[in-house]
Amino acid sequence: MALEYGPVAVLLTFGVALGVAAMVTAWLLRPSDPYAAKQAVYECGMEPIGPAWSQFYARYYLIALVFVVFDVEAIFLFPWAAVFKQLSAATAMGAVPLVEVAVFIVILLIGLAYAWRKGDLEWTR
Amino acid sequence: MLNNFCFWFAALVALGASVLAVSRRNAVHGLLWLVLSLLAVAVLFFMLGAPFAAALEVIVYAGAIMVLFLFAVMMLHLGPAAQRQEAQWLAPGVWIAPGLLALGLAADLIAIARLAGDAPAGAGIIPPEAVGAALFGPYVIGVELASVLLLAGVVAAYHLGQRRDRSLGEGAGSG
Amino acid sequence: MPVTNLQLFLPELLLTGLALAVLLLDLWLPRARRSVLPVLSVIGLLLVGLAAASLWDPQRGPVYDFWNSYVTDNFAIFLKVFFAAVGGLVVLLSTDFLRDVRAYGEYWSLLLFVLLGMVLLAGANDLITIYLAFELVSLVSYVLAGYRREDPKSNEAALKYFLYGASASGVMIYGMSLLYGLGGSTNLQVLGERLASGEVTPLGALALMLVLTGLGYKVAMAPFQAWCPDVYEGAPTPVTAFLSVGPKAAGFAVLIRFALSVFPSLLPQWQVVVAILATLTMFVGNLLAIRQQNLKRLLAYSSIAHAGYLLIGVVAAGSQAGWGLPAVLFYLVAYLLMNLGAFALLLLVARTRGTEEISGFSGLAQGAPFAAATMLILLLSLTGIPPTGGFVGKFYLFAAAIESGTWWWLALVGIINSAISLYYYMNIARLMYFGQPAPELVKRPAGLSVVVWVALIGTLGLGLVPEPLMALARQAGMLFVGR
Repeated sequence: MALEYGPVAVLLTFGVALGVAAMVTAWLLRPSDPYAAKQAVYECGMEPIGPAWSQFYARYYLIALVFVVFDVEAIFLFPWAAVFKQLSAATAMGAVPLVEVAVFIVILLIGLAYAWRKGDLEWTR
Repeated sequence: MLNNFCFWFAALVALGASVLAVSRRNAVHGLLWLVLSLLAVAVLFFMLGAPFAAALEVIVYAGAIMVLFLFAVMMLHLGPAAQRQEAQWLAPGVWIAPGLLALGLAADLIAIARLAGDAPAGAGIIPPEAVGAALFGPYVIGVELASVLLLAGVVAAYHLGQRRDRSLGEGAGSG
Repeated sequence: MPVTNLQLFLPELLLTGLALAVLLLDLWLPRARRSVLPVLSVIGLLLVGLAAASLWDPQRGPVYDFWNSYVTDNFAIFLKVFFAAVGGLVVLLSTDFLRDVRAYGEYWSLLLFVLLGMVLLAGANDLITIYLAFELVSLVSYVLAGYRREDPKSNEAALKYFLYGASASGVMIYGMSLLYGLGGSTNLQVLGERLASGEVTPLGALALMLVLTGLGYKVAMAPFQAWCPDVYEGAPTPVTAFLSVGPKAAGFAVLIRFALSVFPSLLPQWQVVVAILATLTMFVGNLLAIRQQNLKRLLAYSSIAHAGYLLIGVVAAGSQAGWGLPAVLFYLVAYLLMNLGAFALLLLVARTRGTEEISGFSGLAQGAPFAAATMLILLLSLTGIPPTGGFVGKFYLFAAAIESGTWWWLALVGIINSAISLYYYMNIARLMYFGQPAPELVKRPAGLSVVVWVALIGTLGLGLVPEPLMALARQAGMLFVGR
């Protein structure tokens, strides 16, 4: 089984090697001259002020939750799509797998409708 | 040989990262170790011949759910104060006894597992098609139940996360 | 075998539809008209109960469906009707509470989601289905326990419940994964056969212990009961009433199906373990209940004790005599009635007198003789004194222990514990009749009154004419007899 994923391993190896090589080369070639402004955290050219910890709104969390729900939905849909033909051929009525997944999606869509209607998807209220 | 090496390496990384995830005082650092642990577990899944489960572990757990965790951590606004509190909670006197107990239990588990003897791991490679056939065949109730569970989760999270001014009324006794 | 007969799945489909309908109606109904939601829920649950009851057939053996992952047998049907009844009564209990806190529809839909999980647990015949349904029940229960977000006690209850519950789920699914590794299947019957065919391995015993631990947390079995009093005290009272009956009964349903389907080969082992834990549970519940001043805490410890009594029936269910299972089912019904009745009266009293302490019942007999008399009967039933359903239920449980032969001593433990419980239950009765007189109960919300009446009539009815229900419970327990 390892062979099948050989290209992935090769890609991974080269990807890591390239990154490491670039950093090592830079480390070998560059002059070392640290001073305070250089050591500071780079923040798009702004002065970094205050701690990195800042409080998020609860709304972000709810939006992230809706994202996770549909992430999981996609995960369920992928294997379903992979076997759809095979499944509808196996069951007498070809519609059974379609109905199965339709029920699944409709229930999740109700979750989306709920979040929407309750105003979780609006940025400011 | 290579497989064996990969297994032990991934297993050690998973264990070490989990221990660090629990013991870090900075919640975000703990979270990053947890991501590493989940990635190592994904490697284990892959080695067992379940590439789809491995991908799932990366996409859902190391990806989406960790984002959720991070948001929760940021939302709760844990700062230096929380770290000090955690340092207090994780004083050696607090965790040594339960830790030893847990080690004892782990030794117990390993001993019993050794007694049971070795079994071949995995039954070949499980492609996504096989996962789909199982999910929308024998486990279809589980799939539909999962959607209801997710929906209930959204509703529940909404209830806990809604704004204060729209929340329930006051009153001391809940009677 | 794929999906053969959706008709058998009708109660579940109805309940899902009801939960979704309530959720959507809450979104689009104007605020003023949302009081229709509890009415709709009760009517819907009535229909679910009727749909389940219509499947009842004393002659029919178990029907396996959905590739054997779901089973419809009389045991499952009995529990489904039971859960619909639990749901209906809890909705009635909650209307008043939600009027106080401004009703939000998510309470009703969350409640219906838990009920759906419980109904699915009654028929689940597969590790995955069991686990997912359990998570549905647990997850929503945590949120219901913390429904009053402003109340720190309610938050604490939710958090404690969540931490304990999540650990329990983790332990349980670890045991299940070991079972899958041992048996190579998630189907309960297949697992049972595979475990029985080989000799009993230490790993099998370990899996049993882990699953038992997980379920033990859920039903508040000692020594896993520590979360119970805090959660029951902090949660809103109607939710506490629900938690003390609903998820507990669902836990017992799974425990019984698991023990009898998967572990017949480990029968002597699990019987010993459960018998010891039952004894421990009874003593812990009853001895700690004595010192409680808060009635919700007291009822929490009392519910631990009652879990102990029910465990006697679980032990006996493994024996040939076959008395255990009907006794457990009968006792669940009796416990539902007497416990929800007691909680309804607690709500009534707390509403007028503003306290959930036992002292709130002081002198109730002068101000509200009917409420006091009802409470007295419910307390007698909880203690196990005739002519009440609690007495008959305990009688059947203890008889089951004696009939099973080996486990006769559990009946003795049960009787000693009933004697201990007499003290703290009758302490309330003493306060009601001889305490300082207090003003009568002015407010009597309709929903609570209905629950009180149902509890009163049901408890007395089961005490005086137990035979019809017992006959049904026996038919429900048939499938496991003679294993």
